[in-house]
Amino acid sequence: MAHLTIAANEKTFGKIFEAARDTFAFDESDSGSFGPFTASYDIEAHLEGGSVDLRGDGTVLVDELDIKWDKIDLTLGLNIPQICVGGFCIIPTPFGCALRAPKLCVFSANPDISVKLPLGGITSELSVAGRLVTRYFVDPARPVGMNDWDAQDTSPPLFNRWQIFLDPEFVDIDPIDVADTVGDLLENAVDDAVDNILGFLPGWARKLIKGILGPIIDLIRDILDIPDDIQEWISDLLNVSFGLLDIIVQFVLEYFADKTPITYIEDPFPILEAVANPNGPPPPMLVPVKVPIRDFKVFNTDTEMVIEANVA
Amino acid sequence: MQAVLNREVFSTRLFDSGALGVLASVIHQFAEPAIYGVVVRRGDIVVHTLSFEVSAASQNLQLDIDLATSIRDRAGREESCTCAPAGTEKHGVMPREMRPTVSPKGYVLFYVSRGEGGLSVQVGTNRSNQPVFDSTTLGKGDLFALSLLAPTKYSMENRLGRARGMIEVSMPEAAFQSLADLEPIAVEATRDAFAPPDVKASSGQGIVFRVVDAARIVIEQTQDPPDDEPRRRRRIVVPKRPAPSGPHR
Repeated sequence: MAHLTIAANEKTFGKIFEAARDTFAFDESDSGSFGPFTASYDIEAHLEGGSVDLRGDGTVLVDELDIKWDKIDLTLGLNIPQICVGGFCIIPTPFGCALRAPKLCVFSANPDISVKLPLGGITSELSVAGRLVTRYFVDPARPVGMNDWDAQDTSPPLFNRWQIFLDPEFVDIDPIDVADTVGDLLENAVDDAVDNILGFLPGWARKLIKGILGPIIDLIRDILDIPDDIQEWISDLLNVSFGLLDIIVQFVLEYFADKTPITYIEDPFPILEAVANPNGPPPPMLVPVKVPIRDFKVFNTDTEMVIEANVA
Repeated sequence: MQAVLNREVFSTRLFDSGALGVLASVIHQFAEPAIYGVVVRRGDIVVHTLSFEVSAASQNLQLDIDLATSIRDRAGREESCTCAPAGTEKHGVMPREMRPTVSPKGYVLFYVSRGEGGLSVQVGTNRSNQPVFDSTTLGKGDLFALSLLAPTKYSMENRLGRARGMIEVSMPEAAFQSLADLEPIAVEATRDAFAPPDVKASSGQGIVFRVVDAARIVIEQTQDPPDDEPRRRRRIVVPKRPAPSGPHR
């Protein structure tokens, strides 16, 4: 029989889990070239909600955890096609055009525009199931030879600890589903960008060029080779092309499995705090009494998390 | 890639067959097979020379000569020229295999793709001291083709005669997508008259003057186009600069 047994019921375990969940912060940016256009993203997310279910098979299910996408700034770099005039037939013949006017293009090359789409403020759901595992942690910042009492007194403390992690067995995640207004957002952003590059021209010239370019939405579809559903295309760009789902799943796995313990216990464990010396100084204080923890185990039933350990 | 605006496309108000700028071309047919030398002038100043060949062996029915490109390339060509070395008798003569050619049944089209323009050409052969073609004096069968973009009114005149007329350009949005497919408007130009004297065209539509006797055709914008949209000012966000260090006054 273990020397120490600590149990936390499901509600308490939920509170412990919430503390770990609330320190989750995801911040990522990247860029890529996708043939006719370039794209980059800058993303920030945190976790909220979720229900914890301790299960009889020794696993823990955290269900309906919300990924709050605080920021999804997607920037698209596009080449507007050349805008040319001329090219009309000067001498038509029954067999075709014998002489054609040269085409004269308004720009020396395809002008670049860059549009930023602020897509943040959406939520995806995530479920993660795994087993509780223990890991012994020695702080790499702790100097060799530092005793356990000094390690306790440093700020932050550098004591060794037994940590409890949730080692995920699977993660279910909903794809990032951008709002259905993204089509209008993209159209307005490209329209503004085109206006901006033509901004120094007189109004009639802008009108003519935009007339030649045609409806902005058709222009976007042509440049990006987008099917009808822009919303789905942008979601695919984030989820598949950039692989954001894989990235965040990997981040969640590492976060719970390696980086952020659900809780921990100090080793050696202080069973008596430092107190003033009742026999008077010297010394003025009696050091804490600490007992080393060994054979640290964690498991759960369908009602509680149980920690068992021996005192060496 | 940084795109440079061809500003003259929108700012040119004068279109002169004898002083070519953007959006306008003069066309001549050189029926005699020969090597032709072209002198490009701005006013009285020679800015460049080049040559082309009219050859019965050529299948090419259209030769476009961009006067602006030949000017821009002039400096670089001195170094990269593959023609005969400096100091030799044939220096400056383009080797035959590099010389553009056109069929005697074809046309040579002179135009200006960018820049301030004001360019004319005199074309001749080494068989005669007189130019066989001078763009400041278009002759029978020569063509002057242009597109007018600004939706407003223009005057047209033949400066070698008394012909006068008006062109009114409108901007029907339905035509934007098919500018190149619009039928060009043909105008016959004699010393004394244009036929028709009043032309109505869409923005970007081709207008082709066919010279009957002699002409120097000048089209000039007489009104500013209506501008119902004010120019947009571009906002540039200035990055924050570090506060000045050291003592403050």
